[in-house]
Amino acid sequence: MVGVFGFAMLIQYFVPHPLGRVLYGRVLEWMQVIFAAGLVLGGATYAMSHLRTVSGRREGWIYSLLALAALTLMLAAGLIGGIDRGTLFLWLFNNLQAPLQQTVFSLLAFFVASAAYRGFRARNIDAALLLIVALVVMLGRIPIGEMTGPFLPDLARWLVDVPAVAAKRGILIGIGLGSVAVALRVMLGIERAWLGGRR
Amino acid sequence: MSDAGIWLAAIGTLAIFSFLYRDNPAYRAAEQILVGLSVGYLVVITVRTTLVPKVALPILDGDPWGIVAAVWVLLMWTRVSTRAGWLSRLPLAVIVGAGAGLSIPAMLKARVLSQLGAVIRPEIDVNAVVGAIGVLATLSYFYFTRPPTGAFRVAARTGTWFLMVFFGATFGYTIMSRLSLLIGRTEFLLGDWLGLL
Amino acid sequence: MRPLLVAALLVLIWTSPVTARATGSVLSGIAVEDVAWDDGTALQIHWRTKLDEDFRVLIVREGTDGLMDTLGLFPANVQWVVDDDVTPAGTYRYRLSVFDSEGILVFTAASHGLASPHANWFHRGRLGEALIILGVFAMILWGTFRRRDIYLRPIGGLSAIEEALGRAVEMGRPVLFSAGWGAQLDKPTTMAAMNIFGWLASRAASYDARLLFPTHDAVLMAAAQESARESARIEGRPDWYRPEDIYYVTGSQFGYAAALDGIMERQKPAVNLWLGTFAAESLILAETGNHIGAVQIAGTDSTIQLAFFLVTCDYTLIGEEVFAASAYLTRDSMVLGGLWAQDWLKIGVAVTVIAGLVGTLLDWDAIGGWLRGI
Repeated sequence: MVGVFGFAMLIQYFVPHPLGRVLYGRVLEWMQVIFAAGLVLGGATYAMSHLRTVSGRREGWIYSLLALAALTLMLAAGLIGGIDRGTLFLWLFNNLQAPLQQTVFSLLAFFVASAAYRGFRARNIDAALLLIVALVVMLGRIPIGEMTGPFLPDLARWLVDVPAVAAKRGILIGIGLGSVAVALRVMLGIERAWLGGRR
Repeated sequence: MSDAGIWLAAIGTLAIFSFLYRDNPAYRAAEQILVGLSVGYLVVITVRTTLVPKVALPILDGDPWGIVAAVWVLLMWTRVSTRAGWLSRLPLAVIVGAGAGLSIPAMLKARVLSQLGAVIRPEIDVNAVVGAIGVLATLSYFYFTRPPTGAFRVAARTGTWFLMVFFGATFGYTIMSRLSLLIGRTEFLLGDWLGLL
Repeated sequence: MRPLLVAALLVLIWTSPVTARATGSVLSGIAVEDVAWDDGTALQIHWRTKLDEDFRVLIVREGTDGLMDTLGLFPANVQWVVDDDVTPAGTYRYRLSVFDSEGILVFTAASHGLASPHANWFHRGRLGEALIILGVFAMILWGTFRRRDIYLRPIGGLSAIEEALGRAVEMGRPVLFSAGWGAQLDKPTTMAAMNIFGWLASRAASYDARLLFPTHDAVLMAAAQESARESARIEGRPDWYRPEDIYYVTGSQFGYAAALDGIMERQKPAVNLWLGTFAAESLILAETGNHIGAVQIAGTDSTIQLAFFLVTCDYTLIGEEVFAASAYLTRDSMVLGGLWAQDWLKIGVAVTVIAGLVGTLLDWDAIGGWLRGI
């Protein structure tokens, strides 16, 4: 099954005939539907596990109750009330979900700082190199760096555009080759550990 | 944002930030609400934008492809049963198989061929040479099946340096943009909520 | 007004008799052919002429549906034009009208009969890619079935996984695995990560270590559950498998990050494995992992996140190392052979780069030009 779908999708890339397009569109739609079914399934398993916690009065059940309340509220708002402007669904998203998400995202500022601090304890020459480049690029991007003359910004730009891009290309080429090899092995059934199987 | 909305968002923001001190009931509550809301949000969007138009409506229209789509959905949902759960391996096989087949030409093109095309530039200058050396050295770092000795060792070592420059560059580059996120949240707390700005 | 004028002009040209001053010799051999190896949306119109570029050819297409369209005005001496705006199996006729440098119509004629484009089964523009893919396949398959002893240079992060498992068992704490918010089962990186997970599940089952995998995607959850159950069965420890330890959290990126932060703080895993495709959540996860004192091993194809993992984790697998992991962990001779082939392909890449650059020095940009063209 994996092989059939794999080779069919690989071959259609080279088939300009409209039938190839039809096959491509159909399979893509199936994938979309399967992911969608998975998402609803995920929501159901999520609700089930919290229901079990609440009904068993297990540790933290009160939080599970909160989670269930939030889930039910959102589902009811979206499935009954609709998702257009002015609905409860969008109000909840804009005033609760989105700010919470943005705040978690903004935690990154603190984490970046602590990660940088960790990086300062450069353990070896590689880490030192990473740190120096990071500093140059940072300084090159802010006005203080520019005040020291064009050298720092120019160096920063060169580091980003030339050696960094070269290394990135090297990484990408490796990833490309690795991806093709894994995909081929999976299609041929040589590698089945993704479903726990062994040859 | 309405007043109630601003208060709700502000309390949530503070609750999430409290995690920086340590895990605590306020964070845990905010976390559970966020996760619960987001699951609900995604389910609603998925039902309305995929399952209804791609499965339910075609079936109502008598389109046989709608039934095929519904079969995939049901196979996926067999997971809730312990006895029929293995049937969900079929849709998984579609995802993995089709994904593998689609990604082979895509990966080869985007990750290998077009990168090569960018390295082999139509005119040669110092940057082109540095770029090519960087790519070759990085590739030799990823060479797995040969002991790193002699010239090969030098190449792989050079590759590590190029990698470190890349990591440093992304690190330095990203720090700045992350700081602006924090500024955004602080502006909300001090400005929209407390009206101090 | 203008569309009307154009339409009037078209009708005039179409209906006018051949008004050639020098009939036949001006433009001859007008023919329309299907463009081969395509999706059936192109026809090629060609003609023969001795006229120079001062003369222009106006080409008008008439479909069987009666619709007329102007392709444009072309220099007479190009002698061919491709019309890539037709539909497969439609039938078309073309009228060519020659204007001299002063814009005076000197000749007009239509193609003989009706032409129809055909859709083909092979895309010639992708022949090069097809050959490369076949070559890559041949190389990988050769390596896979060659079966010989292969040297592997050590990768620190991979040998550390087994050690870390032992540590988790000693401490009586779980192992936390995540394939990242960017992971999806149709991506090769995720497949590679799931291969590692399959291996990990069988090791964890044999050590009786608890393995947690909160996912952001239920399709991934389903695959991981199947993988863990199968691994436990093969290890002879079916009771080890706990479906509730591999569960769906949320598909929201920062909801997922917030939940994993909470899980780490409350369950205190001894080991965190971040293997897969990550976005901005990488640092939130890895820094919290640091805070709880977990041993952290990361590996990703997300180039931007590598730097953050490198700074915060004990070991980081870079890009292709994630794909090589299953060869290292399972020591499966076929997978190892594939890795050997990948290395030879890298040599192929290096030779191409060098050949391309030498070619550029010699003013021969065929390799680079072709690569940039696809």
